[in-house]
Amino acid sequence: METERIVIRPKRRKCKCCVMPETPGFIEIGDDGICNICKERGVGTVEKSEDTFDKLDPQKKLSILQKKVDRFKTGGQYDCVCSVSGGKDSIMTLYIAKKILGLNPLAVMIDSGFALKEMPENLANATDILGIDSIIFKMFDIKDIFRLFLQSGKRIYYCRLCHALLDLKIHDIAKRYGVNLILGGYTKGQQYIQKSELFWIYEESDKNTVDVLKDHPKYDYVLELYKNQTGYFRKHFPTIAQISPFKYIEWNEDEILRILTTELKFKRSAMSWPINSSNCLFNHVAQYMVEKDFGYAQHEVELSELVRAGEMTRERALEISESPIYESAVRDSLDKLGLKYEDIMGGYTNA
Amino acid sequence: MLEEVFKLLKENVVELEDVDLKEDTSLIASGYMDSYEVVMILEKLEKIFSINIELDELNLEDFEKPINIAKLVEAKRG
Repeated sequence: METERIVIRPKRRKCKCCVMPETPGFIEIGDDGICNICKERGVGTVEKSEDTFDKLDPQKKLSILQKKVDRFKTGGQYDCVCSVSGGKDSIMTLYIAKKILGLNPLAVMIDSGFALKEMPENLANATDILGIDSIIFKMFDIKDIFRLFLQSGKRIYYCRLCHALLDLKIHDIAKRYGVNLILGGYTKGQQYIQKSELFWIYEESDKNTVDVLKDHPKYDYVLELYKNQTGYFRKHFPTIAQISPFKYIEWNEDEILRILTTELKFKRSAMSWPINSSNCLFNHVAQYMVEKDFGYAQHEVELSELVRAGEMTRERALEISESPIYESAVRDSLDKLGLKYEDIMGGYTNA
Repeated sequence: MLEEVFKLLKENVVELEDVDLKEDTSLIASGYMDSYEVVMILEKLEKIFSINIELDELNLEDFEKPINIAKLVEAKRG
């Protein structure tokens, strides 16, 4: 790869136990170098409680997962829908669904318009080898909405909106196929319901999302979703459950990559952010905006949680979180939206 | 009420089947329950106890421990 120009980002002091950056009012790093989240969750100075789901025997957790997925079988053509980004976690979820849980999944990839080329290739290889049906669904609303957000200049967490819309489409497809179970390759760190350090970001981002979209009737469905996401999904998809196998099966990055590369021809993308992930091209823009506007978001929280759970070293987490944001990726993303780099990156203001 | 909550949790949350539940057992922070289980339990509570809990007023802290769930039901029953 040619030498890429890298976007300069604000430098922040980080917790010496995890990778959360100092963010006044939200992430406070003490004189001991440890953040308030680590202290609250039992890393560093506080003894961690033993009574957690994580502490159960691995075989017990796997049998719980098997029992749980079996409850959702409908006897239809597919036992579950696997939400697939094309990255290692979601491809591994396909593998687990088929080879460990014995399910007949339907693999669904939602393309926001920013998918990197390795992602659909990984989906094609995995589904061909495992013998799984698949769908790629391209959504244009996401690009249109991102354009509106960027032009507004408001502080918005782009990934939150994208995840919500992808989730919505996945549920819609599951419903159309009579499937009551969605398997998504979310890691322990991505169990955001427990992550109170994200709530203030969600609150401000959601408020600004509503402010921007309320003048666009085409996106009334998004406003209904944002009014109450949990309520929306319960109202429109009451029978559908979403489970991540990684709550029940240990997530080991090296082992996952070994299985995927040797058995499923898996390839990583050097142009993703973080590097070698499955996140789309636009994530370079989204991550820059998050660091500028909020200081951190889901990536830092996920990585920090994996470090606390002992499933990733801090060094590896730092390496990932400090992946370069490439100027070319930002330019290409903005170009897809008909926006100029200098207009967005040079003159961005906070709401 | 607490015993009824224990029974409800054990019957509906696979993760809790073999757990020795106490009134202050952590349910969400401990990882036993996620958002799906919270909403599922909420709906079961509504049916069994003939109460109504709007999702708008859903507070995760009300589902963090069995005693909290019991108190929520008692408050809703009036």
